[in-house]
Amino acid sequence: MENHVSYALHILEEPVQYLALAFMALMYIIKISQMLKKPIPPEKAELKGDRVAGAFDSLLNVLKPWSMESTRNNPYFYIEFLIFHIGVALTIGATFFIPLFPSLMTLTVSKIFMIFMGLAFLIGLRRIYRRLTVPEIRIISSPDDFFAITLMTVFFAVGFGAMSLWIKGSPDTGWMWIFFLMTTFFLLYVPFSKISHYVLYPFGRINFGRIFGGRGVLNKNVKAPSWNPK
Amino acid sequence: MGLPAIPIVNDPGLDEAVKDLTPEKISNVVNRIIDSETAARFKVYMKTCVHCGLCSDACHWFLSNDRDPRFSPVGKVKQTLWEIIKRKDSLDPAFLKECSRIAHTECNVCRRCSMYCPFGIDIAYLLMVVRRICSELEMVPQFLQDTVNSHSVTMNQMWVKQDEWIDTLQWQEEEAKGEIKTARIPLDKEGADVFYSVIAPEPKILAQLIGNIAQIMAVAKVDWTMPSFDGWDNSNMAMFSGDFETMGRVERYHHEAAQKLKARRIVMGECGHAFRGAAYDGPRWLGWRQPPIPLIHAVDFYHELITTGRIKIARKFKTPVTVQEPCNIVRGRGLGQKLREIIAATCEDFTPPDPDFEHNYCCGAGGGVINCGPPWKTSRVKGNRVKAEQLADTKAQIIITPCHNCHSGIEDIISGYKLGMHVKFFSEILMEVMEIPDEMRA
Ligand code: SF4
Ligand code: SF4
Repeated sequence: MENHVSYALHILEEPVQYLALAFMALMYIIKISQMLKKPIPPEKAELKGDRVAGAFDSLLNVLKPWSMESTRNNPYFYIEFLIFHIGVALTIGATFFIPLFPSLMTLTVSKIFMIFMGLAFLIGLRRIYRRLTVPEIRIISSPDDFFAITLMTVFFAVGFGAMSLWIKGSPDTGWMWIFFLMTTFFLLYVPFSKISHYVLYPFGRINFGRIFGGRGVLNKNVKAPSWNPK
Repeated sequence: MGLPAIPIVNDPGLDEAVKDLTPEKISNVVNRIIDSETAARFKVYMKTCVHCGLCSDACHWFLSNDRDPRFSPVGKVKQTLWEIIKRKDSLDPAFLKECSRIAHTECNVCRRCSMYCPFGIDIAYLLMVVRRICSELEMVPQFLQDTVNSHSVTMNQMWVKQDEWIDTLQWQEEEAKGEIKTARIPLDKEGADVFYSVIAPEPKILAQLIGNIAQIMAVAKVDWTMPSFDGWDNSNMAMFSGDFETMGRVERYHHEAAQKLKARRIVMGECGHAFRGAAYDGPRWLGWRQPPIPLIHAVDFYHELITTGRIKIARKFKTPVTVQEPCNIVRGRGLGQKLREIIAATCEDFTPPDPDFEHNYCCGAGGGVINCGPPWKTSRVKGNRVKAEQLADTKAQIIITPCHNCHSGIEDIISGYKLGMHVKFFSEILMEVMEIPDEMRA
């Protein structure tokens, strides 16, 4: 797919995005280093299992819906989760592939991207609906939650629109401008929002895995601990 | 949202203490605890939670209260900790009273919700931070605080005096000798293989359990001892009230009593929370590199006695049984499989509960909730309807549970929901089925 765009859009698609990306990375470095300044007291009790195996197990449980009761009991929710997050990855990916590797975005690849964007958009709408109507979710929803999910949902729709024009040979459209402006905004906003959970995910999961792995609750078949990080 | 009013419970521990609170006092404590006592995971959890509500279905309180969102795990954190963080310097006393009600009486810190959360967020830990703040502000339900006061003064949970303790042991030794000639309760014996510790309700109201263990030890020919001095009570309600200083003292006494007697290992009686305190929370608070003496729970011990043949099973227990798996030793220590194996070795007709193992529901009594006493009993029993339904589905007549909190909590559920079942400790089953050589019989 060709990507002949105006100089202004080129600036937005590349240098502006790189700056925003660098800002996001910096914010995360600060955030994580502040978090890790706090003590991490280890468990002192005798090991009953494998902490390392537990941590790996826990980290990968996003890929094992059967390992977590919430997804085991609700496979539909897991499928929804999977599609939504693939949609997120592909939509963000598109903002890099389009300016940097347009040749990779063949018609088939682009259509796959668009299918996921479309599905993620519908799931986004469903998630907004759930936030508004399910009592236990509504009671805990903050303005940031509504803002973030609405923004994501609009982002998918805009991405879908921009790409549908892009595959028709119109790379420099209003949709594309909005798509990249939103991407830039995301990069600046995400470190301060709940969307950061994807960066923090490993910390909670590793901690969970270390504890329950070390206590012999996860990886029940591991005979001897591989490492005792006391 | 049209939610029903939460019934007002009069508890002098909260109603009186709230009168002494001022916004300044509250803010000082909140800032101190959040800034200097919380660990890295506190920040991680607070920042990671995406407010998805997936943890809700894990909590028996939520399920049993008709999915009232105020009882969901994250709902409890929202009503307490999120507000505390948001309004750190302008918190009013009435709000703190609500926090104590939620954290002390509506969460069993059972950690089932951690198994549901996609991020593994430990909500129980977050609510323990709330309990800690409340405890530092003396906002603790009266009955629970009374057990902590007892720990602090007598080093046991039930104001048992030393002479009462020794007297009870002697009485139970006599009882045990009436059954098995060689049964003894060796006091203060140095260098024994096993230092056996119990929780204070045993000498106070369930003394026969001590007599039972004397018989089991005699049959298995275990070299064991109990201390005549403080440190015999392995329970720790201070761990649940949020008084971690007292928790540390209690755990230190327990371990040091075993050390003083140069015991090779500690075997703890059938109690889940006591094990949690001695194996995990106590040593962590005390900053010990590791507990000074190896420590095992009764389930581990009975498993060892049965699988090594030191206790032989003469006949199997025939009445249909099921199990209440204590959170603190099954989810908290992975002893679920061993518990199943000793039940399989001793019982003929076992039906597992569903869900089970680390996914099993809490008994509703643990985490200090039952210790909040009679004022909170109605809400506690109402908050565990799912457990009643789960147990009824097994159609068992006996529920085995190696934990005192579970035992009392399940008894309340049985009577509250008229299940017509009975609860037994594993040692009670063992007493009925173990082989006692004729020459040992009195
Ligand atoms: S009672 Fe258990 S499941 Fe419910 S919030 Fe507390 S720790 Fe979580
Ligand atoms: S499941 Fe985890 S992330 Fe979701 S609301 Fe509960 S604690 Fe937060």
